[in-house]
Amino acid sequence: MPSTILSMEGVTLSFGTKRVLDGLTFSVSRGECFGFLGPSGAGKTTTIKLLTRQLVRDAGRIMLFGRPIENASDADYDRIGILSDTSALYDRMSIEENLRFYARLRGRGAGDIGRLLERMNLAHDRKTLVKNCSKGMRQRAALLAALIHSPELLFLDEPTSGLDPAARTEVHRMLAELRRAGTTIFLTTHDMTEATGVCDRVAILNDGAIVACDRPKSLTLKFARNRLVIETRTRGVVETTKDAAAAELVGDLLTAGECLSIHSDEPNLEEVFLELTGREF
Amino acid sequence: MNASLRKIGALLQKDLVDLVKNPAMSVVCLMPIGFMLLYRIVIGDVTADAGLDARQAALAGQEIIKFTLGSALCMTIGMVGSMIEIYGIAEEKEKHTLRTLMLANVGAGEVAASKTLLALLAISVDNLACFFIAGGDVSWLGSYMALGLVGSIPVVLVSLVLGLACRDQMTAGFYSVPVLLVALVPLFGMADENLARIASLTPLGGIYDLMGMAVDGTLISSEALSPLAVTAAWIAASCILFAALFKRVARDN
Repeated sequence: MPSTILSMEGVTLSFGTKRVLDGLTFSVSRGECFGFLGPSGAGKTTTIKLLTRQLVRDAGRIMLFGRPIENASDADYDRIGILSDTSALYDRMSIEENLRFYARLRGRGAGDIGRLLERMNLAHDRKTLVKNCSKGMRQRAALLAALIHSPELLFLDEPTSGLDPAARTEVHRMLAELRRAGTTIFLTTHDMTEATGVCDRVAILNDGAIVACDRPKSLTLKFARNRLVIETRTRGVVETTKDAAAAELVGDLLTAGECLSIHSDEPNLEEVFLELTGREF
Repeated sequence: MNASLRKIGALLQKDLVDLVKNPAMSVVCLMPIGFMLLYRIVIGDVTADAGLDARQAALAGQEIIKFTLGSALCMTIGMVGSMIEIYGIAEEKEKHTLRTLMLANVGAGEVAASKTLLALLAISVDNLACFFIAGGDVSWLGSYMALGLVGSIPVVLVSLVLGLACRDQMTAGFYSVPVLLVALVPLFGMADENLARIASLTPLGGIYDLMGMAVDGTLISSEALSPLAVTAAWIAASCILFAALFKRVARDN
């Protein structure tokens, strides 16, 4: 089995005269959680639509499961789960009825439904009609519907958008479990904290082009400033550099028991994005 | 093939449950039955109170049952067929469940097959109920049910294309009215000879006339060729329209 499960090479797409994707190149390895980050309108959803046959590119190459996307079969797409920004369940049916329907559609038994509902903290609401569910419950139920056939590759388009903190935590916990189970996840988000916590690697998209692609930690280290901030007992906040010259000062403060905290001044992903594009999220 | 049949089966089961749970759909399915009950009550006593002799009463009764059964066919096919297809698909588009299905690797053909089977099933059940409410003779039942299915083909195919072309339920309302009106034209054929001639040429005019012949016992005769040709022409036209437009409208936005 190829280790690269999904890749794009020089992919471009225009809507009329507006170029929305400009030479996208990246690859996603099996079992990886790959984050696609960018502000609204950057091209994240468009990229997912290209990868899931909802749109056709103008140029470039897209590989899925080791073959060109044009040659991907229905069987290949049965190995994929998709939660789009518009995914919806049938509102006159209960959460459980919806999941049973999707299980049947995917040729799976209903045996896993109880376990999945437990994992997403929806077991008590299984009989609730979808029209009576909160947005968070609907989103979690839609995620379960996308997972019902244990896909190898999961596309998630802003899965925690509009969720309250508790529901976001549930989703993040589920994603962590899926990663441990070896599911490859392609996740779009504009939430930098989520990307840092969940993704193995992230690509930062701006105006349809990838401006950086690396591990979140590597990206933040790459843009780290040469500065240490030390909070002391009696001297307030002391700033110094990270080079050898600072060693003596830090050593003295530690020896004197003055140090309350030492922070290296690393940017978060949002600041990295600002640094790279000059734009705020 | 097996996967496709499995998906159609799952969709049909879901659509059946939804048909029962959707008040608008349920009411539309019950409307032809309600009209039949009304016909039975209102028209049922007409011959008794008209001072007709036995022969005249029998002839009038036969005309009434021809009209009632023909009307039942037109109403069930027009109302149920168009509603299930056009509103059913439009609602799925408006609420994004159709797109979610497509992303779950369900093809437009599988959705179309499920909706078509559901419409034919609902039309058949309605037809059956209407037949017995109208007091049809059991010897006509086979012809009546067969005509119901054959007559459904053009309406269901055109409604399927219109449903896929709809953006939302508001557009569905706009598209379904002409289908319903055209389906009901044969009911007004009694009013005027010229109107009757025009009605005979409408999509359900053929089966309306054939139902009358089945009641008269002349279904297997040269007289039936003309309404049969009309019906066949509408089926062929709807198949051509469906084949030409289905792929174009099958993609959800």
